[in-house]
Amino acid sequence: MSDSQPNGNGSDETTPSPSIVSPQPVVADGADPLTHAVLAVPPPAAAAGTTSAPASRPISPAAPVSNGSAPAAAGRSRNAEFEALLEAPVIDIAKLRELSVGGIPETPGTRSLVWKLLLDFLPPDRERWPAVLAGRRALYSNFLDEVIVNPYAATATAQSDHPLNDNAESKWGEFFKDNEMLEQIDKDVRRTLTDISLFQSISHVPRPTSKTGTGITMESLCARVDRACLSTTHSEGGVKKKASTSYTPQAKSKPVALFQDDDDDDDASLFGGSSTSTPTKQKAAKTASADSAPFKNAVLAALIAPVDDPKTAQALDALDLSRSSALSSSTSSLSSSSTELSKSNTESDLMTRGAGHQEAHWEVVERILFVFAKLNPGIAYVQGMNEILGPLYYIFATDRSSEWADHCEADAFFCFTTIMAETRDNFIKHLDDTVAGIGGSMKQLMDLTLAIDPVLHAAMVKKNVQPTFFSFRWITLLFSQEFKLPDVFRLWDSIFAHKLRFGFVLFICAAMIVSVRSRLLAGEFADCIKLLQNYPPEIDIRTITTLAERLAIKWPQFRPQFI
Amino acid sequence: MCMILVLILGDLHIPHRTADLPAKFKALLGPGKIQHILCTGNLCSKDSFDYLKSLASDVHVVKGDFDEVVTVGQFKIGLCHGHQIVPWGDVESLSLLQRQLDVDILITGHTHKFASFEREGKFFINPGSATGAFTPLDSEINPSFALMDIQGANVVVYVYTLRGEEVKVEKLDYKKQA
Repeated sequence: MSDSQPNGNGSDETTPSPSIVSPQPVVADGADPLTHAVLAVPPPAAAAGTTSAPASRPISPAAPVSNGSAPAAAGRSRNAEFEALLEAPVIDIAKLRELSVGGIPETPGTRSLVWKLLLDFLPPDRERWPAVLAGRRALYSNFLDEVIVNPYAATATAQSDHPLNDNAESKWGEFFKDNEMLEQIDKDVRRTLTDISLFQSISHVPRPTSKTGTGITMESLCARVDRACLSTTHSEGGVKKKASTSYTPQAKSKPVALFQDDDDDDDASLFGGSSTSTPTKQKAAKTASADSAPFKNAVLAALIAPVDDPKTAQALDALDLSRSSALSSSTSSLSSSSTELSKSNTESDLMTRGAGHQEAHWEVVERILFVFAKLNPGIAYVQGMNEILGPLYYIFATDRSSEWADHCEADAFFCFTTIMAETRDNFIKHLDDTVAGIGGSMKQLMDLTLAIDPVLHAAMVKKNVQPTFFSFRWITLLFSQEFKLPDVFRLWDSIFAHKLRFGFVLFICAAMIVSVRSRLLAGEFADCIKLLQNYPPEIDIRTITTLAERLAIKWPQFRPQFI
Repeated sequence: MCMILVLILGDLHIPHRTADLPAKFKALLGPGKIQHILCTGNLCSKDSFDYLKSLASDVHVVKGDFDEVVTVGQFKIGLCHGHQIVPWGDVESLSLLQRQLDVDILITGHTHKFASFEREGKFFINPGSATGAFTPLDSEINPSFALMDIQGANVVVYVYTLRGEEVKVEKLDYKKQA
């Protein structure tokens, strides 16, 4: 499978363009007190005296040297530069990298486009874009068919196989194994970037349909691991048929979830009469969380148009078996139950179950991760991947141009694959203690810290501030948990564009440690850990990238070996 | 397609008539596979109920003289212990209850004998006794239970029967008629 995937054009990172020579203006060591204090390695005696200087320095507004922080006029010209660069028929990737290291302009769509170029998803040649995009998106849709739709289709036909078969070849066994993984993905995805409303809202892109089947809507993955309780109706003796509509508490809380079962199969014809109510139900479910105005209007229109019939049908559906008794009951109780139903169509229901053709963004993220895990069994899914995919998906899904946003799923999948291809060693468990794995990366970080600032390193060792306590998350999740989302984007601009690529991460880590030097020296173990785990927001992201850049130049021996 | 696995079993009669489920069955059944359990009753202890709860979070057991109706996907499933339906296991009588409950699939127990048939487009299952517990009706009882795989409008029923030391698996198909 891996051969059919783009794996990050290894040549790009290994042969950095010669035109890139320190994109950030490097200030001579002596010119900057920070550089002086940190890089020139003060003697132990002087360390105490200089402790306050580096700490206060990064906060001061004078600190930023990068072109990203240039005044507004310069910013405009930078934007113009980006624009000119991106409009060229063949985009100069080397130049683009050089510019992007200092941050990508916030103009709509720019970052989304540049990331796609930097992550080798798009070729530099604009003319080839339509072909490449069509090819990759078709490939992704094949993946979906292969991974989600087809694999278990054989279960129904294989005569000897059965659900409780614990044989290794059993398709059912594979199904349950996948579900185990899916359950983990499901848990994580639901809490990915929860403070960003996008992920809980409805994607305007309909759920993909299966290509092989006759336009059957793809099942919602979360439904496979959903622990729904069935609502029940009891009737005494069957003969008397005095159906009591006493619902169990669970049943009351989420009746909708059960009906969405039906919708999954998209076979409306089988429903007969009740199918008329289905679209209304789905749309009603969306009203609460649909945030785009045009969509809301459509929903309102849909709700207003068919007034009574679908609602009655809906209520009847809900009352289910007690239909006969519901019919005999007064209309007032009917309408009240239908309002109760529509009230329960809230966001929480969207969290419990994907409905019909519409799905929330987090479901899309779930699908991407599942497809990636199935196609890369060596890494499969490791907690934290959601945090890398999250910001990526956010950028692509919020692209102003629907041409891009409509395909954010496939695009994000390939870009995510590129990132994982380059950083996967950090996610592979059995590499943890090797040089290549996360253990090696953390050791490198401490070695680099030792080289930069032996005093700080000694203090950290003495206080037992181990890199596992803080840098594990920094490195594996690419700082997505350490900074506010806009800062994460800015930081990723630098990482993706940098000639060291993910090798630059190490220097960012070191810069982060060094930037809080005085506090690390002064604090106790608990203070230090707290500080590093909740990185102080007042330290400007540009200070960190600038410092990291200087460190990368000063300590080339800590660059990844293949550079 | 969304697959839903529903375990159907009943008439365990633990501890009155038998000690436990057959070991072979217990080895097959594990947590994390089955979404719902429909039980026709006669468990008869809380321990048995707790065991079922360990297999799936959603367990439905008929209580005494009450029938229960649940909806799984496109199917309405009626659950009834079965002693109320006289003559016991009679096709006509079962059909009557199916019409009264207006269900697509009717599950009943009590006879301790696996039975399954389709009648007028509706499906009837009796999972037999999961422990093969004694019943005055029959002297030869094989422990059995059933597992329904519901996919859209199709149901595949896997019937697990313990014959001697061997678990036999049979497959039955039922398609809902539009």
